[in-house]
Amino acid sequence: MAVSLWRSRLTSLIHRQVASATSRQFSQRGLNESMDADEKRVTVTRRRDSFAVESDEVKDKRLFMQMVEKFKAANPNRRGHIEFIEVALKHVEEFQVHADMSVYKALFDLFPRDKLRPKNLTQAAFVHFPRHQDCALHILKKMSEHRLIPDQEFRLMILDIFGPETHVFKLYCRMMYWMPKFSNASPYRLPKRLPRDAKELALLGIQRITGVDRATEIEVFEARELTESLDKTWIVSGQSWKQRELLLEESGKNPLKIEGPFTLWMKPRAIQYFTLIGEPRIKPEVCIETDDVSNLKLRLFGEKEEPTKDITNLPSVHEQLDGTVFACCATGTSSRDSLLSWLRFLQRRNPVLERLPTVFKLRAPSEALVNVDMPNKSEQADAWAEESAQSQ
Amino acid sequence: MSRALRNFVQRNALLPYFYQPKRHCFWNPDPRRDREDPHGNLWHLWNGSKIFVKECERAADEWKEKLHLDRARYHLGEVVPQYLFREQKDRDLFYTITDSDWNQGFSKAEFVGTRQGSGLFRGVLDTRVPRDGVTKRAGIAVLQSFPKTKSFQRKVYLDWGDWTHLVIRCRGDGRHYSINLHMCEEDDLTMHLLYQYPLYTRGGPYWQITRIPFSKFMISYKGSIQDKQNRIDPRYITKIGIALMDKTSGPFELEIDYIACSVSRSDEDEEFAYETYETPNNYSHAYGMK
Repeated sequence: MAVSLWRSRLTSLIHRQVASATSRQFSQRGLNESMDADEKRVTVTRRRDSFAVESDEVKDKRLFMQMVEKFKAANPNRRGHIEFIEVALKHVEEFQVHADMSVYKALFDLFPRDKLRPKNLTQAAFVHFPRHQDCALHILKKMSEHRLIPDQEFRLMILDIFGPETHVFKLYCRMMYWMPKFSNASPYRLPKRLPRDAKELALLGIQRITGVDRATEIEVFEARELTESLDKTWIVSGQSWKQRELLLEESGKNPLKIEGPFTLWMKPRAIQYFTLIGEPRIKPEVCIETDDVSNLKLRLFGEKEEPTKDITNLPSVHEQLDGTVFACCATGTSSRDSLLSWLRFLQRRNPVLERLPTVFKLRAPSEALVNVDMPNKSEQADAWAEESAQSQ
Repeated sequence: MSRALRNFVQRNALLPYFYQPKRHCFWNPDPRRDREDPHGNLWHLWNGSKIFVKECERAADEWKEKLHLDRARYHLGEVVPQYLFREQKDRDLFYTITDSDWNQGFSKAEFVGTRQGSGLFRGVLDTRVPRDGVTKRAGIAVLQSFPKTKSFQRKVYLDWGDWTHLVIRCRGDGRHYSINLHMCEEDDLTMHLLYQYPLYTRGGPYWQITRIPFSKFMISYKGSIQDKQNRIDPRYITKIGIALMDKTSGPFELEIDYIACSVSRSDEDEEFAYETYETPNNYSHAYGMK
């Protein structure tokens, strides 16, 4: 019994030495040869990733918090909490909890209280518990990546655990200075939680595009109302009264174009939209001959200048330099037939469209739309080329 | 003290009030010094002679302009384009950089012209991280200008000291871009210093005009915002860049008509948008808290 105990101790000692001194070629040959057999028994076990769920359970916040609670119960003295936090941070996006403050708080709560605070100036000057501070910095970095501004409770937590004279509190101060400055800086704001439904998202996107004209009316059509339609899908369309007036002025000499699909990003999602566009309006060019003195009027003696005939209306926002925008839309399938249905719906309020020629100018799906996780891009491109050839 | 010496001392004492010090910290060798020259002297003579006449003409024009003593004057609020992208030779002043250029990612980008005479910065942003064990984050695409030169290919600053606002007319795709103003060209301590401000795009068929005051640009080093901020001095800008790094994989498109400068009333402007107060000496961070 005693011999076996001694031997197991010796082997563990030697294992440690072998692990630490392989690079230095520390000689173990002086010891008895029976060690060689034990050396072969050394096995390396991988640290288990507790978040790699193999069952069919839904990966959500409930499961994530369950993991944290399980870790707490299994480790009452919180051994290995740094490794646990770093693994948890890798799986935050996978579990869809990256925008949830309470999850980060739960992770931060794993640090022991009052243990990591520097007690004197020397400890504060040389980074106290650097590994723990790094880990806490990773949590804060992850939050700032997902635009999550820490709150007062977080501040108290940092002060309790690490104290004010640490890098963690410094980073917290930095975040509290810069992040609120830019959280609302964008003039094109979106709701914090984007809708998951494609139709709601398209509604939001068309609202954003047509935000240039406050008078825009946004309508949602259902293609099944039309008997001619093939794609029974929804269509979100935006048009203002000014655009209807501009359509009335169209002569039909140049055909209108339905262009698209263009991408509109509402991070992290995107929609495809189409526009009904005409030729740019030619504005009368005003030429004033400043050197011409033949027809000067003497205003001092009451003579008045003839009113100029060059006055025109100010162009509306829809009259862009490269085209006149008449309407824009997003459809459920982005197909040619759904766009045809859109045109038919537009004809209800714009009867002039029935006589104006309209051309479809649709872009083929570009290579840019390849799934980024696809291993072989050329194969995918070939498949698409075949598909588009078949559809045409 | 002799008069000459007194003048020298006084001039040096007043120097900081009249001149902005250069951003170089120490002597810099010529960055081309150690590079191997693949061509011989004859090649340089022959090719240099081709551009010599052209460069002489440029130099003559510059001196004419200088001796003319008639600087252009602009109205308040007037938008004066600095970079127009109507023709191919204007677009050639810019080039694109992505992380795939250094094998640190898989993004792709290009800068091409459009039919209506504007520049189109497009490509695919990819946030996949290469498995080299070093890179942690990926996904960046930058459109950047070559440094401005005067005659005989000498580099000069953009010299935008007279302007108060940067104006960009663009049509984006709803993503957030970042405008980078580079201050230093050579290898130096200040090599990675950038002045940045986000460029928000609406997306859609309508053009947008964005006016950004120079007072709002914040200083960053290697992409991280610095604690000690200072106002940009637009006289010493060397390059301008537009970067996309919004951590979202997918295609992007930014159509740019022009990059311009504008001047507005000085009393309406703020000097600097962020706090610049200095903490006293021996001030411990968050001292006396809790």
